[in-house]
Amino acid sequence: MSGTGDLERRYRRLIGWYPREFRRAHEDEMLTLLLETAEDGRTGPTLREAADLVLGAVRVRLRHAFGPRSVPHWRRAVDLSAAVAPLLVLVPALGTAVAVAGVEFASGEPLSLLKWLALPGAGLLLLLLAWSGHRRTAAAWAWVLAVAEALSMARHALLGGLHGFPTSFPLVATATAALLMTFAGDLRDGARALRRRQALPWAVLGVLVQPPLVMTLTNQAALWDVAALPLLAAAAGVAVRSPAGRRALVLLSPMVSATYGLRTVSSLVLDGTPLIPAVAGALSAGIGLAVVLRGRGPEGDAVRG
Amino acid sequence: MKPLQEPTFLILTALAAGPRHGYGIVADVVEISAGRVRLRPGTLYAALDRLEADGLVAADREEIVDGRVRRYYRLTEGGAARLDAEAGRLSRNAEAARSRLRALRGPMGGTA
Repeated sequence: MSGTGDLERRYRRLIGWYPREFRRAHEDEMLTLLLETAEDGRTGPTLREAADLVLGAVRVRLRHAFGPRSVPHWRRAVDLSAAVAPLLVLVPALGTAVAVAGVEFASGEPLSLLKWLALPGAGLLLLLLAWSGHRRTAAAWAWVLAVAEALSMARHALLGGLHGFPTSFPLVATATAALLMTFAGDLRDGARALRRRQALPWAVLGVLVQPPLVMTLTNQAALWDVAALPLLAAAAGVAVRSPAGRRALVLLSPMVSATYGLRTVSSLVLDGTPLIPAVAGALSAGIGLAVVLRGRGPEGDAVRG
Repeated sequence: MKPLQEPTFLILTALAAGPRHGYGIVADVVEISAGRVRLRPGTLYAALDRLEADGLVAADREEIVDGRVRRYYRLTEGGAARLDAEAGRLSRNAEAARSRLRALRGPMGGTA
């Protein structure tokens, strides 16, 4: 390849750091300017040019992510997340209820279904309120659940120290749901978007954030991590293809990390099985990246907004 | 209103003389700043993208020269008003500084 061809290819690789929308508008003219100002015979960008292009890309990406033009995307993301959040409260609660009932049944203890169905019932009510568009009532109900969870945690902490901290998922889930619903615009819009085009990744997310059931059935929490984290990454990879989906993932990350983050850390530190989280993490990163890159076709908008 | 950063001020000043393409803006900014400011492509196009989004500059036309795209940018009315306001602010500040320096040098430097 000629020197100019090499130089152009290397410049294009650096310009690849910019968002797709920006590149569509400016890539060719940027390249023209870079080639016009490069000395004859040069085959690669100078360090200063490379730094300028990468820093420019960071500036443009930050402005697109948080600038005034990103406000509609954030609004849609809050609506979408607020519609997803009740699912992430309900599904793990159902998983826990079924798992605990299974343990009680196996051990011959009398079933206390009413006790264990209280949280799933509360989660179902939250989902119905949210998806029928009763935003304020849903937000108030989510706050009630969050406060109840906080009081329950405080009681456990008083009785048994901070032993129960890794099981704080219901508190994180209900508090995140309450916050999202408080600031959401129209929950019906979020629910419609969820049903229309983004149901798959969120459904996967909802099912995956309920390890208690699988843990009880298989008694293999670590294997669940290996299977669940890559699936979670793939679901996230689908979600990141839209600007609102990417932002919704950020808003929902406390709910997911409260489960998988704490569990992975406890598996690493307490159980002494560093291989499992390492394998799960590597698989997740690979699959998530593959899904994201697959969505960067000409018609995709993986890096817009 | 937030003061303009120097590269932004110089880009708008370059475009105040008429539509320019990227290379033209870079060359004009070097001239305006007496060789002190040399805009690099990453800085220039990040600024142009922001100024376009803010409605201060707009794409004027495109040309193909030697098979390569050249897009011209022009100052909008909003951009001209913003540049005028910034130039006025800098001018007032500069005048205040000069006036005080004259007063300072008067008694100190005498009439020599």
